[in-house]
Amino acid sequence: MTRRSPTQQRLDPLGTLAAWPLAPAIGAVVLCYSVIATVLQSDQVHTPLLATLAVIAMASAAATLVIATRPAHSPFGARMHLVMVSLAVLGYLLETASRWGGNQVVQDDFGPIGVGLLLLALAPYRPWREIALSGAIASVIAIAITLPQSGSYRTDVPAAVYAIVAVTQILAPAAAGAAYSRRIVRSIKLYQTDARRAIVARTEEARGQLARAVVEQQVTALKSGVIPFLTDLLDTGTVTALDIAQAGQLAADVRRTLVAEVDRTWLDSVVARERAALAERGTPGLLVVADPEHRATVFAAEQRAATAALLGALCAATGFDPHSLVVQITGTPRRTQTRTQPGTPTNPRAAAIRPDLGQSPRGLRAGLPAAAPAHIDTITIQAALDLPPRKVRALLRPYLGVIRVVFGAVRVTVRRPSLTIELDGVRPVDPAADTLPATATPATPLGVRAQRPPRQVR
Amino acid sequence: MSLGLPGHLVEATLSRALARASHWFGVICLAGALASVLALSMAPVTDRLLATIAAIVGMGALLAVLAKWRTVPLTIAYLVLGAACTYLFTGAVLGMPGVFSSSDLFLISLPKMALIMVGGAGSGALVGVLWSTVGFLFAEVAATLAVSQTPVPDRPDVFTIVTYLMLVGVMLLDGLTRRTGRAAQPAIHRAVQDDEARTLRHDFDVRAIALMHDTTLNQLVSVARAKPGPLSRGLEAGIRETLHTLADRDWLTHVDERTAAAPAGSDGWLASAVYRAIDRSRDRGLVVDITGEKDALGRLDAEQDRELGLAVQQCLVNVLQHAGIAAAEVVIDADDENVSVMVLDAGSGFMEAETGNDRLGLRQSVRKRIERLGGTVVIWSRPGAGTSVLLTLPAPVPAPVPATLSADLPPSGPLAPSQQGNSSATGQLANAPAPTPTPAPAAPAPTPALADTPADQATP
Repeated sequence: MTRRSPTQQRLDPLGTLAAWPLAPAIGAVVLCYSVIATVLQSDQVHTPLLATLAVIAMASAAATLVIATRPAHSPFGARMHLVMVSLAVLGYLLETASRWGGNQVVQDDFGPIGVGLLLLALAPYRPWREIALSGAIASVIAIAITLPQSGSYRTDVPAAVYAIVAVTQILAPAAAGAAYSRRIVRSIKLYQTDARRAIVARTEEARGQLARAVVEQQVTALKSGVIPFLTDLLDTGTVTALDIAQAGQLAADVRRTLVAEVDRTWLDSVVARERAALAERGTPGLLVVADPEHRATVFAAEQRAATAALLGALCAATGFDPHSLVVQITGTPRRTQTRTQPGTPTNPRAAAIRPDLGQSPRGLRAGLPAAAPAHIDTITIQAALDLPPRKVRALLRPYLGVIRVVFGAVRVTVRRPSLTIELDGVRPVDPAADTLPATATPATPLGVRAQRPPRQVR
Repeated sequence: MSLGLPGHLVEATLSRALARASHWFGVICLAGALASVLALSMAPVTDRLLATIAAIVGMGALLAVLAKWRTVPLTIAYLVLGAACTYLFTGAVLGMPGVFSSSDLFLISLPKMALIMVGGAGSGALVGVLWSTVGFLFAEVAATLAVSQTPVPDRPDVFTIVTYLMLVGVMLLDGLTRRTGRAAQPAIHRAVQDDEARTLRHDFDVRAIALMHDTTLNQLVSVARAKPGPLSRGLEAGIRETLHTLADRDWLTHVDERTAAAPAGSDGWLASAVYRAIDRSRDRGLVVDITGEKDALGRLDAEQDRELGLAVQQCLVNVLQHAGIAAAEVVIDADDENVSVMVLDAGSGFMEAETGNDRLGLRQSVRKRIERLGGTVVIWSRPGAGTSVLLTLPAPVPAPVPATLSADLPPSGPLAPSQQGNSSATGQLANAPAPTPTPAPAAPAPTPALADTPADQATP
């Protein structure tokens, strides 16, 4: 699990979200078929207990598929893959055991086709190699348990034909799933390469213009005070006490402006833009950013983009209270190891499922793996959205689909009208990155940031 | 970096991926069919079976070609050959005397399923459904014809029907439900692009602020500290320079030019921005002592040179403004990988805790500048013990040294102690800890470099 192979779910979360209904549909087909096949062929079953267990195992595999593919559970991990495939194969084995010696036909067994269909359903969620490998292993098992039963089969053909039937039922859907997974990932990556090149090219084109805009902005700020002052000084050729006082004043002003600009992060820019958009729509609002430690800078490009898109969607939603948005960033201390609280669950998912934990910002750190050498920075977005919870979730679904893929853990609490979304960004502890902030060098005044109260950006 | 596919590519991409999946499904079915015919033919080989094997192989080959070029003629050819193959296969298998009792066999479905999985030309859910429906009809007709010529009773083929329905369901679902995420996907793409632009803008802002600080703020502070009366020559020159810089609107663009020529001339030192920075400080009345491998500065590229010059200038300005002393020392050092410049003064020094967090000089104009270029900045200081700032930039020695340069440059590497006066300081500097910002053991024990600088003489 150290190197994450690309899947459609990671590269195109929204496309996967759209294809989601397939998973419960396939799960239902597998479940129904296993029940029907068991009932119709009950004359071949000599151990009903094993047959029942077989259906239960197959049903559990189908349930695993449905749970692991749920949008709230994304992304689909390797562990769930293993659990699902093991349960399905177990179901197949139990089914075979329940009618060992009495099985008349292979083609109507639910085991092989069930395994195959479940593997097919993994196509958007898992890397193609894993799907193909699972199919291959299941096929080997199928051959191993089909050939010894040749004595019981009704039709007199070589035993290999029965093995071929079983293997094809597994391998054909599994190969289709693997091929889909491989092809779509390649297509998306191809597109991404082009898109990245296009974005870089466009940004490069805008470079000069942007540079001039930045200079213009700086110089405009000085035009009213500093430039005339210095010009006058040069013209008169003398310095008066008044000039000295004014110079001190201007220096303080300029310094204040520059410091504010230095401390500006992408989050400030995003929120400023949303604020402008709100004002344009005639509902000026108060949007607050509380990021006293400037943690916004640690988030990666995809995380920044997904968060910006989510904020945009929230602010543009009907029923959004323009005075309600608060974006807060908290996290584990920068220079020390991950802090854990005693008695809290060690699995992030556990925290995610418990809505009570999601309520308090202090509970955010609850879900840290105990000894994991990682920092967790949490973006907490709070807003008032006067919509039924169902509609809020429908509104957020596509954005959260993306966010779940790029953030470590996501918690959403909807209590009309309040909405809280918490996004955990996990970054590995990097000693170099940790000492880079100037605080690590004893005597330097650089980057020393006092703990300041949350800023209100208007 | 870009999350997800844009709307206009979705249909074609999905269609290709589904076709690829169908083709693999078909290939496995055909392989199964071939294998079973081979298995069945072990006992009594008939001509019929041999013809069937040829048909399956041909169908598989055509499927492989179709997977490569999804064109209408190939699709039609595959459907026709597939129907023929289905007819032959069904007839051959069911025609085996006394083996099979009915036609509803998974074995019989294999070529039919391969025919449904045609994954034909064109993109779009409806086109895909159309081709598969044609494949399904061809398969059923061929199979029914073949079964009618055998004594085996014809029963509905559940496997083929279910496969067909599932495939159509998948294609329609992928074609139709895409529309839900329609508003979100463009918003996310826009956010990715905005972020890219914002990152560039931030980069420019950081540089602009550093420059702003160097020029305007420093000048204002100089004026604020001046004594009433006529402007001093240094102050006047400084103001003139500041106004000149501010009038030149393209300074960021100039900084941004990557094609700028390397420092001209054979003398890297006199052409370097560090030299100019020191020269300007001397104009303002600072006495600067220069030691070390000055020519190593010629190894820096244009941007590094410019930025290092600005950083050194800021360090010297700090000496003038804060150190309470009008003398500083600049030591230039180089090894095979890095070029470093150390600015030392024996002035008042400072403590981290006493420095306000609104101070920009070291933070923006020195540290951010150097770190942006992959370099490091280490600062040693304490009240009364002077200040040393070590700026290091990566600048590997070019592998083949041109003849003209090698004549001018002293051999790079550790400094020769006898090269200049103040040998102890430079010698120590070469042994100073690597310029990684290690959490140095606090103020009471400054590095050896400090201990031997003239700072000692000023310290009581």
